[in-house]
Amino acid sequence: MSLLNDVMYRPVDAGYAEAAARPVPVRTPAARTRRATAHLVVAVALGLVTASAVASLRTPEPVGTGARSLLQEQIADRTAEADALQATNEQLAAEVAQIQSDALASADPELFATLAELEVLSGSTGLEGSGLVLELTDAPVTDPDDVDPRRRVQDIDLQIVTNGLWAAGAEGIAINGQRLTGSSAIRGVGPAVLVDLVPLVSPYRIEVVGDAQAMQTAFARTTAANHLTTLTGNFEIGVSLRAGEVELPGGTTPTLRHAVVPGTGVAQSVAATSEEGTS
Amino acid sequence: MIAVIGLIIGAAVGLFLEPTVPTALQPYLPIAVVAALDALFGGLRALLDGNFDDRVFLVSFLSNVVVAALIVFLGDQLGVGTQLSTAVVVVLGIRIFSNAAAIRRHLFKA
Repeated sequence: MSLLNDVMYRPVDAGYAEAAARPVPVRTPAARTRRATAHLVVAVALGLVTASAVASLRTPEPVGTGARSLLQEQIADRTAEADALQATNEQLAAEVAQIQSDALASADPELFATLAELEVLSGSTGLEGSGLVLELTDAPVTDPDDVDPRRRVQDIDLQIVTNGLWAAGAEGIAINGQRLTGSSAIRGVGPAVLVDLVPLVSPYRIEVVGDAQAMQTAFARTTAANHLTTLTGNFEIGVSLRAGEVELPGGTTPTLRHAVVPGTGVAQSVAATSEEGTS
Repeated sequence: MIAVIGLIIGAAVGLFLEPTVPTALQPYLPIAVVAALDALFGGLRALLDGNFDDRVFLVSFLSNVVVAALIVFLGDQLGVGTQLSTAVVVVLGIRIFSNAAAIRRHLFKA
């Protein structure tokens, strides 16, 4: 094991001993200067290389990247999961509706008719028929660094327009495929508008089922029509309105809510919340 | 002695300028630095032994770094990069340790 012996007991390069043992050659001053210069240059180069190697090894890893990609992955996964659940939910809701109508249609036709009417009013079933399509588009961006939020379609604009459409006699409204129901909310978050917590972006396509002609006339008289004129005139927001056949999806599955008179003792837990609501 | 001064100047410049090392060389840096440390300790011991020589010091420094990097490169090409790195680190580590022990004996007489 001469190698291990060498490593353990003669760790210094043998060159040092040999160089010391060698007789010192006589050099002219010029040759000595050349030698010293060469040594200096090589030494500076080695020092530079070593120092930069150490510096680059000590540079901390960007910890953000790992966490970031992990989060991105998780977001993609959860979004896919949510989409799948949404699809299952819709399928089950359709099944429930089918079974419900099958059972009820034969047993109590009158109740079934009432139910169908209420479902249309509450927006829980899909609607199909003639109506209007109103499209709102954000104003073109001229300077990406300085965007005036008023040049975007905002939640308040959509609220005013949909309220105007309801007033004009709309039977059902959907924005970018999100059906508006009695409990829908239109809210703004940054550049997007949330309709029932689903983020939508421009262009906003408002589809309305109802008597197209009557609605157009009535809508023109509402304040919403004035508002749209202001948006187009002052903020260059694109507005287009046309009549046509539209198809609206059903809204979110309605949850059962109970209201009871306080103090009657019926459904105590629910009574507490309804008291808060009424007081 | 001029080699040590040059080395210190080079290191100071390197720390001050912080040049970026090409990404292709990044995998060989740790081993190269360990090899440089080994040469440094060897030089220090030779200095204390009284037979320090600029030329031997610089040549051993340069060859240590290059050979260490070369071994890792070869290992990477052959698919045994980590094992060879370990081997190099073990050998150099032992050398550094025994040199450090010799230096300690010189300085503290213990």
